[in-house]
Amino acid sequence: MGRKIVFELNGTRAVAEMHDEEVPKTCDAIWDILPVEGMSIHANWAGREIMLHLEGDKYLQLPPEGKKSHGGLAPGDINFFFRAPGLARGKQAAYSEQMRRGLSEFAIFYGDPAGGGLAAQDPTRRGDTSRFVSTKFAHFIDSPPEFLKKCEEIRHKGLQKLVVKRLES
Amino acid sequence: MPNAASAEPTGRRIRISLPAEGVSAIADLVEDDAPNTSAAIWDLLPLRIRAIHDIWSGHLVLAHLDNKVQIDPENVLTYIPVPGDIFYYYRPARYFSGSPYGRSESAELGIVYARDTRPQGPRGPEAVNLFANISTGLEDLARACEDMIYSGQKELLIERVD
Repeated sequence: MGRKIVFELNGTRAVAEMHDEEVPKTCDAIWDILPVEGMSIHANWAGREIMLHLEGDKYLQLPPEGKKSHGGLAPGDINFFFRAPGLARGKQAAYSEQMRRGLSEFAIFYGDPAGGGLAAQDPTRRGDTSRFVSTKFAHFIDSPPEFLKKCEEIRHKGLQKLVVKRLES
Repeated sequence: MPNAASAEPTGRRIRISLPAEGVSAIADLVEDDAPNTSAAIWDLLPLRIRAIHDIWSGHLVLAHLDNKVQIDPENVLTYIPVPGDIFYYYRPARYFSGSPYGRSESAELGIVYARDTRPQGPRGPEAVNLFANISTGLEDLARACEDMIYSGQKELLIERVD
């Protein structure tokens, strides 16, 4: 049994279990920065995914750990995602000053990820994996429909506050 | 290799506006390559509909039409739209298996506002009817379209330019 974390979004909550055995260092690093809160943003390539950027003292730059998770995403998966500076362009880089340094985020798949998307062909996913890290570190074990609906609503309403915290036993 | 987006405009033009943002752009219908789609969309105008940012395809916004607006595939451009391309797409009910997509019929317009975009759904690339390309005003429109990622959906107005 892994440690559990809670996601709170607009009056709804979901619980995920961390993959402590598979990716212990990643889980430890994430556990140590919790709670994290910020404005969650909807993906525009990856499908039914919302993201929470890690900024300031919550910023993480972690090495790859465990099996390469990309290509095997499923609804309910939660990944730590890192993309090195200089690998993104465009206005999205202006979303936060932090992204100019590098993108560090929780990638929260509340539904189907993109099957054959551009992201899957991202050349940075080959070769030097320190520049691109995508580690599956948790999976929802309780994600009620109202929580999933709030995730989807970010498409319609724009950025929404998301809190991620430890579920202490 | 034919490039529909670079086809010479044949005359009819449409105005794409986001009234709340105070921005608009002009697009030329690509009537030589998509006569049926161009005519069908032209007949619907003016359209005042909600636009929302796509979540699968990159830098594009889409707007749902009445599902009765069904146009056969024409001038389908699956992989490489360019910024400013405007397309029609129809997905019949049960086009995909499983929930929720298997139930969801959808007739849509899509506006590609920047590079790195490819129309696609949950199972990969989709063929779309490219019927117009923005010739003026794309920069301001693109800024407002990308803002939908952060602020949510907006009202979209499409009109004839007489």
